[in-house]
Amino acid sequence: MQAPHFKTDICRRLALASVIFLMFFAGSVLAQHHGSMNQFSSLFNSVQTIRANGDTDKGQQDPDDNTDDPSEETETLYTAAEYYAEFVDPIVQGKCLVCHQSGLVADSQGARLLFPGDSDSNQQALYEFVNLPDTGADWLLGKISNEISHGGGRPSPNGSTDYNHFSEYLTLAIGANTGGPVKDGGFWDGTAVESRETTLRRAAFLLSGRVPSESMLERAQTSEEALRTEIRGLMNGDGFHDFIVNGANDRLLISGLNAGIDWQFDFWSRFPNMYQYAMSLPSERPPQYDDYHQKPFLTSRDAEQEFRFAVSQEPLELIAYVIENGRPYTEIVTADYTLVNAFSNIGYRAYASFDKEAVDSQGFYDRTLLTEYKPGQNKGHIPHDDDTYFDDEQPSYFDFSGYHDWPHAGVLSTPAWMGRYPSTDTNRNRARARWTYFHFLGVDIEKSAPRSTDQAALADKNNPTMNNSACTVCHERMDPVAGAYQSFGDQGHYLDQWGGKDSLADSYKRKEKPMGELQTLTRNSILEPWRWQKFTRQFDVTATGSNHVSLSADPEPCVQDEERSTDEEWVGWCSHSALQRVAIYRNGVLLESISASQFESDDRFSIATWIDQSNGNSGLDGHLGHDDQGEAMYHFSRWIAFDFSLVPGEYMLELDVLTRLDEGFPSDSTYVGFSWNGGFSEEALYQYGDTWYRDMRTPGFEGKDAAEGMDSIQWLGRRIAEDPRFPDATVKFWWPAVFGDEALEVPENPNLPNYQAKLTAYNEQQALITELADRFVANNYNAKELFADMLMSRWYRTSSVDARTLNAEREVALETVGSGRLLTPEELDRKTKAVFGRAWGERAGEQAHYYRPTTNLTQDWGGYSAFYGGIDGATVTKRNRDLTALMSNVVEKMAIDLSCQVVQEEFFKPRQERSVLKYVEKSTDALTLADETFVLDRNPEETEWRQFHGEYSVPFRTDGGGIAFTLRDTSPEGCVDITDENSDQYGYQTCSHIGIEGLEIRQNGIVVERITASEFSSSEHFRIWLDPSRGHVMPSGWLHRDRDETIWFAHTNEWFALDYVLKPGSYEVSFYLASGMDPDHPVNDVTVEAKVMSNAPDSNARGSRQLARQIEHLYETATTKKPSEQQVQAILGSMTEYAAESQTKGINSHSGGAHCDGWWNLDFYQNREEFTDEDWRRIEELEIDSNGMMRAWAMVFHSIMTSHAYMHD
Amino acid sequence: MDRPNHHRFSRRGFLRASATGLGALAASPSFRVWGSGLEPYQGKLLFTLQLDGGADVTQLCDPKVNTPGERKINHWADNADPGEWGYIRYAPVADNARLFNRFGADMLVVNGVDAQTGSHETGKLFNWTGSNAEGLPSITAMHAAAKSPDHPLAYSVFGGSSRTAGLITYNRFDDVSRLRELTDPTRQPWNPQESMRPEEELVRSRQLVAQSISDMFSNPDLTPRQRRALSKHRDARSGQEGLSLLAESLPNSDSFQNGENFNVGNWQFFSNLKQQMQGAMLVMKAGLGSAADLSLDGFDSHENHDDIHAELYAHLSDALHFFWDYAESLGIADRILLLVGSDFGRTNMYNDGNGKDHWNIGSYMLMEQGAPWGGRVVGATDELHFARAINPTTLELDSRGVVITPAHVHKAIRSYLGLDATARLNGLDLNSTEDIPLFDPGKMTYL
Repeated sequence: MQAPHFKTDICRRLALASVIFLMFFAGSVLAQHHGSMNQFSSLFNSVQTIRANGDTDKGQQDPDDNTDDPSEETETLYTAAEYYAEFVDPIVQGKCLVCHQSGLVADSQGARLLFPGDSDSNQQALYEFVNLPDTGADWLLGKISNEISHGGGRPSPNGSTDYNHFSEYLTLAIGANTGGPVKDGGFWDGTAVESRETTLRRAAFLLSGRVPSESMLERAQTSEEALRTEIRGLMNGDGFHDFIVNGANDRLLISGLNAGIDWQFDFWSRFPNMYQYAMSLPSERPPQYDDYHQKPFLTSRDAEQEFRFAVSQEPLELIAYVIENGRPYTEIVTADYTLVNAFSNIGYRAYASFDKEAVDSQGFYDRTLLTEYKPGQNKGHIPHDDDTYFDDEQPSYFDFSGYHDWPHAGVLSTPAWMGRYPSTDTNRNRARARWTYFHFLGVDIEKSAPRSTDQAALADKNNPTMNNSACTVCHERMDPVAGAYQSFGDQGHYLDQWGGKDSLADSYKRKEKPMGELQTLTRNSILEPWRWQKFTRQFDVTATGSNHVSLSADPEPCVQDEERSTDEEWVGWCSHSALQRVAIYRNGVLLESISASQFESDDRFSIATWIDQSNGNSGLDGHLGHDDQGEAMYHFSRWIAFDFSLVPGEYMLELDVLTRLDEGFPSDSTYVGFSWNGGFSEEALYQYGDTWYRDMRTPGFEGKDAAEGMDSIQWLGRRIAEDPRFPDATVKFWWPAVFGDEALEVPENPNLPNYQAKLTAYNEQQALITELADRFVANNYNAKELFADMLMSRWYRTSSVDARTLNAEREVALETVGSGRLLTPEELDRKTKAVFGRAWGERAGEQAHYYRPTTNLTQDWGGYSAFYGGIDGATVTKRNRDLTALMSNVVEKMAIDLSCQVVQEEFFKPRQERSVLKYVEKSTDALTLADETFVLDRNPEETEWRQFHGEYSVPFRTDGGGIAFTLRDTSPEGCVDITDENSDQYGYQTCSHIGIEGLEIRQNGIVVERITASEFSSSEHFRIWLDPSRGHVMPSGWLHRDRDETIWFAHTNEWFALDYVLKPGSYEVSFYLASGMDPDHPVNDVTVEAKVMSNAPDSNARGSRQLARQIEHLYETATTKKPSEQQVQAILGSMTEYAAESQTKGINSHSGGAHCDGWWNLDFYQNREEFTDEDWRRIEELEIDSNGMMRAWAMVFHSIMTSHAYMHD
Repeated sequence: MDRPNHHRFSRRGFLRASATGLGALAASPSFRVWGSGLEPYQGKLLFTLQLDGGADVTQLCDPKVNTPGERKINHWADNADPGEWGYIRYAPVADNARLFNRFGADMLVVNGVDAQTGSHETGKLFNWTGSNAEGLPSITAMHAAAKSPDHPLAYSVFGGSSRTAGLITYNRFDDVSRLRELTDPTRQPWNPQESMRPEEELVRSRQLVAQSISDMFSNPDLTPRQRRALSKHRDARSGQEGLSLLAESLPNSDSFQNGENFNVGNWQFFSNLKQQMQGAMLVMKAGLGSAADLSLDGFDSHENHDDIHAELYAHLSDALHFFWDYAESLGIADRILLLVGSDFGRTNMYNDGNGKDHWNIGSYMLMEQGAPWGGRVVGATDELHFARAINPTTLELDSRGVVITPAHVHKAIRSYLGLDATARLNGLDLNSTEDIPLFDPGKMTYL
C-alpha cells in the first residue's frame, strides 16, 4: 500500500520545476483575469499539470508486498482543478463548510472566506481568497493549522494529510512555495503482515466466534482474494450478530438503558395494544405451577418488561439487520422501519410474523425466541389528549383519539436511542444532536469549539446560543439538528405533549413566570382545610416607573399518597392558593387596593394564560371563585401579578391570600410565594401550532432548513446519509470493533512528547479511513464489504516489524497497528466457546429464562465483565484495554473453573463430538511404551478367596532410561456391599484384589531382571502408594504368604509399580499375577491394567505422536499461530512430568485441591438433561485418572487460557 | 517510605527513557515476585474525587449571595448568609456547615479556577490533567508512575475519567465487595487455606506461561503493539501474587458500604462513593498502590438545580466524613492528599427550568490531615462568580495578575508531591504555566 504523501524528493522537485515554469505563464494570466470564472476555469484546465503520486494511488496493495520501491509507484497527473476536486474539496466539505458559509459562524464573525457549497464554486472562492493582497498561501496554511489564530481551532495541524493537500494544491494553483508536504519516513517500513491462515483464524474469532474449518483455511491460503472471500463467508450466524450488536453498543451505549439509566419511557399507557394484551394476562404466576421452572411464566408485568427489553434493543437490532442482509448501510439513518420481536410486535401493532410462538398455551414463554427480530413499523403509539381515558379498574380497554404514524428514520427515531440521550426543557435535544454528529458524521462538536471560553460569553443573557460567538461556534451546527428531533419528547415519545401536537416543553409554552426574589411563606397548620393569611412586606422603590408584584403557587403543590397510588394511577392531595386583595401603603397611607372582583378589569392585573391544544384558543389560567370564604382569584398552580407605577420611596405591600388544602393533605406546611420587582421571564414565544422553539434555530442541517413533506427527523436522516462525512464516520464507528482501539485523534499540542509520531500515525490512519470509506461507497454502502476491507488492510494484518527499522518515534506511531490487542470480555468469551466448546459459567438447562446463554463474562449482574475492562453502557462507557493484575486474576479464575471442566466434558464425549481433544484419549500419554489389560477369571474350583494366578507377558521397546512397570486394579466392581434384603441393617462388604508373585524382564530371551514378591519390601525397585489417610502412612497393599506362595496384594482398585533402568532395545516383561475374591463376591473376575512406562518422553511411546499432534492443534486453534517443535516438546514434557507427579502424589479428581465443578455438577454436561446408563458409565470412568493425563490436560488448558497468546488476538 | 529516586530504577521509567525499549525488554526474562525486593508501598497517597457533571461551587466553597439588579444566583441567599470557618466561606446548604467546621483546618480551597470550557469532556480533561489538550496523564496517574510504578494496583480507578499517557496502567474496579474472590482466585473462597487446584498444577501452568512470555520477548520483530501488550501481560501476572496482600486485609463482604439511592423529583440517583472510598483505601492499606480516582455523579443539573445539589452535597459531606474516619481506622489518614474537583462550575443564574447551565469557573478543595497549608483560600471570584486575577507571587488580588486555571493548580500539586522529575523525564512539564505558591501557609487570597 502506498503511503498518503509525496514520497520522493525527486517528485517534489519535478513538481516545483513544473510550477516554476508554469508560474511564469500563469502569472500574467492571473494579473489580467483575476476574478473571471471563465478564465479561471480555463486556467485550471489548461495549464498546470503536475506529477503527483503516493497518496493519490488508492489501489490496494497486496499486504504481502512489503517493498517500498519508488520505481513501483504509480504516477498520476493532476491539474490544480483535478487536485482540488479530488483531495481538497472533501476537506472543505467536511471541515470548513460547517462554519465558512454565508450565515454561519465564520460569516457572523467576519471571515472573508466563504464557500458557496459546490466543488467548482468552492475552488473559485478559495482561489480568489488566496490571491487577495493580504492573504496568500502561507497565510491560509497558518490559519488552518491555527498558527495564525483561527476561530475554529486547529482543523489541520502542520504536517497532517489535510494540511499537505492544501499545501500541494496551493503549489499547483498559485505556485506558492509552501514547503511542501512533510515526509514521514515510510510508515510501513520494515513491517510485515501475517499469513493468510492467521488472518482467517483471527477474523473467524472476531466476526463469528468460531474456529475456521480446515477447508476454509486451505482455500484462504491460495490468494488474497480467496482470503477475502473466506472472510466474507464468516459474516453470518449468531456470532456475527453478536459482533455487530457488541460493536454498535460500544458506540451507542444502548446497554446503559438496562444498566441503571433512568429511562422513563411509558410502555404502558402509550401503547394500548400492549396494555390490553398485558391486562389479559395473570398478574401473578398461578400456584399450580410452583414446581415448574423450565420456563418463565408470563405475567402482565413481565409483558411490559419484555416490551421494554425489545424496545431497548431496537437500534442495535436495526443495525444488525441492515448489515446482515446486505442492505445499504445508509438505512441505519433512513430506514422507514424498525425491528420488532414478539412483544414489540404486539405493542407496535407491527403485524410481523414469527416462526414460533414465544408464549405457550399454559402461559409460559421462552426468552430465547425473543432474540428473533423482524422488520416492522410502529403503529401502536398514541398521543395523550382530551380523548385519552385510562382506567385501571377497567382492564378491558381505555379510550384514545387514535394511533400515531411514527416517523421512522433508522436508529435516529428509535425510543432507545433517544432514551439513551434524553432531553430536558433546556437541553432541547442538543445531546441527541451532539451524538448524532459524533456517531454518524464523525464530528465531535465539543472539540470543535475554541479552547478558551470567555466568562462574559457564558454570562450573556441575550440568548447566547443564538447570538454569542463563543456559543454559536457549536450551537450553529448543533441546534438545527436538535431541532430536527423536534417531534420527540424528552424520553423519546412522539409528539409527547398533551394534545399530541408537539413535544415542546411546558416551561416554554407557558414561559412567563415571576422572577426575582421569590419568598416562601409557610402555612403551619394542618387542622384547617383553608386559611386566610395576610402577607406584608416593606419595599423600597428607588426610581420612578414600573414595579411588579406577583404571587405564585407552591411549585410542587401536590403530595402523592404512596400507599394508594399505583403505577397506573396517581392518588394524592393538593394545596391551592388564591388572592383576595392586593394593597399598597406608603407611610401608613393606603395608596392602592384592588380586590379580586376587580382584577380582570384592572389593566395592571395579569395572570398566567393557557392554550387549548385542540383548537389554539387561549384563556386565563385561573378563575374568580366564590365560596364560603369570600371571593378570590384562584390560579392553577401558576401566578398572578400586578404592575404598579410608583415614585421613589418606602412602601408596604399587603396581600390577602387564601390557601386551601385537600382533605387529608398530610403535610404541615404548604407554600405560596410573592416577589417584588422580579419582573417576568421573557414573554411566551409559543404560538399555537408551533413544533419547535422560536428562540432556537430552525430545524435543519448545515445551513439548510428541514424540508416539508416528511418529519424533520426523516429529512435529517436522508441528509446524513448523503453527507460526504457519513462514510468516513462509518469507518470510525466500526474502527474499535475491528481494530480494538479508538480511531486516533489528531494530536493537539506540538509541545507534548511524540507529537510528530502521533501525527504521522493519525495521517496514515486518516488515509486508510478515506480509502476504506471510498470503497464502502463504491460497494453501495455494504458494511460486510467494509469489514472485509478493514480486515484485509495492513492496519489489521501487520504482525511484525523489523527491529532495525524501529526507533522511539516509530514505536509510538505503530502502537495501535496490527495484531496483539487484548480481547474484550465478550471476545474472550466467544473465543473460549469456540476453542474449548464451552464458555466460562455457561449453564445448561432452563435456557428459556435467558435471551442468550449467559456466562460469567457476559451476564448483566454478578458477572466479571466490569472487572475485565468491559462496559455497562451507563457508568462505565470506555473499555480498559490494558491488562492489569486484577484483570489477570479474572482470567486465572476462569481458567481454574474451566480447565478441568473442559477435560471432563471432552473425555465424556465421543471423539468425533469433541471440540479440543480430537487426537487423544485420556489413556494417551508420552510414557507408555506398552499397556495391556488382563481379566483374571475366577477359578470355579476354588472356594477360598485366593482364586487364580498365571503369567502375563508384555513386549516393549525403549530409548533407554528409567522404566516403570505398573499394575493397577481397574476392576469396575472391586468392592460390593452385601445386604440382607429382609433387613434394614447394614450387611458387609466383599472385595476383589489383584496380586503379583513376581516379575521377569527378558531381552532376546535372556532374563535381565527378576524379582519376587518376597523381595519387594526390601527392594529399591518396588513402589506403592503410601496412603496417609489412615492417620499414619500405610502402604496400600500387603504381603501374603500361603501354601508356599508369596504374593503382594494391592488394596482394591489400588496399584503398585516396579522401577528399573534399562538400556535401549526391545524387551519382554512377564508378570506373575494372582487374583483374590472375598467370600460372596458376586463378580467372577478382576481387571488388571499393566503398563510399561518410561519416566521421560520416549519415542517408542505410541502416545507421543498423538499428543504432539494434539498439542499443536490446540495451540494453533487457541492462539491462531503455529507452535514451534520446541514449544510442543516443552508442553509435552511438562505434561508428562506432571502426569507422573500426579500419579506419584496420588492427585486425582477428588484429592489434592482438585475440586472441579464438573465432577459434582452435572450442569456442565451440555444438553444432557437425561442421562443414560452409558452416560453414567462414562462419568464413572472419568473419575479414574490412571495415568495422570486428565490432570495434565487440565494443567495445559489452564496455561493456554492464561497465556498472552490466548488472551490477545 | 517515599523514595525520590525510586523512579529512576523502575522498569517503566527506564523503558520510557530508553531510545527504543527493545533491548531492555528482550533481555528481561526474569519475573518479579512479591517479596523479592518490592516492598508494600508506604509513601504519600493521592486520591481525586470528581464531582461529575459540573458542580456548583457557589453552593459549596465559593458562596455567592444575590446582587440587586442582577438575576438571582442562589435561592439559599434569600434567607441566609454564607457560613465561615476561618478564612473559608461556605454556602449554608446541605450539610456544608458540618463539613467545613470539621475539615476547614485541613483544607485548602482554590476558588476562581477557570476551566476555559463549557464542554464536559474538555473540562474533566483540564481539571484532572492540567491541560485542555489530550496527551497529559491525570495527576493520579503521574503520582502512581512516580511513586509506585511496579506495584500491582499502583493506580486504581473507581470512577471519573482516567488518562495515563502511557505512563502506567490503571485498574478499574466495579463492585468492591467482590474483590475478595478476585484477589486470590487460586484459593477456595469458602476455605482460603485450601487451593482450588493442586499447587503443582498451578506451578507448572505458570511455568509454561512464563516460558511462552520469555519466548515471545526473544522475538526481536514484535510490533510495538505486541510488545506493549506482552509487557502489560507480564506485569499483570507478576502483580497477581501481590494481590493476595489485599485479600488478607479485606473485610467480609457484608462489611462493605452499600450503594445509596436518592430521589430528587422524578430523577433517581445512585452513589457507591463510600464503597469506592473503602475499596481504594484498602488497596492503599495493603501497600499495593499510591493513587486512586473516585467519582460522584449527577451534578449536571440543568433542571431542578437546588434540590439535586442539596442532595448530592449532603451525600458528599457524609462521604467525606466516612472517608477520613475510615482512613483513620486503617492508619493511613496521615499519608493522604485528597483533591476534590469537577468539570467546571454552573451559571451564575437559574435557567427557565430552575436549573443552572455550564459555567467555566469552578473550585478545588485539597484536603490533608494536619496540613500546615490548611484553613486557607487561594483565588477568588467576584459577586457574580467571575474569576478574579491574583498576583502569582503574593496570591493577593491583582487585576494585572493571572486567573487561576487547572494548569496552575496541577503545577503546584506536582511540585508538592515531588512529581516534577517524573514530568520532566517524560516530557510532560507544564513549562508555560506560572508557578503559584499554593501550599505556602503564609500566603493566601484575602478578599
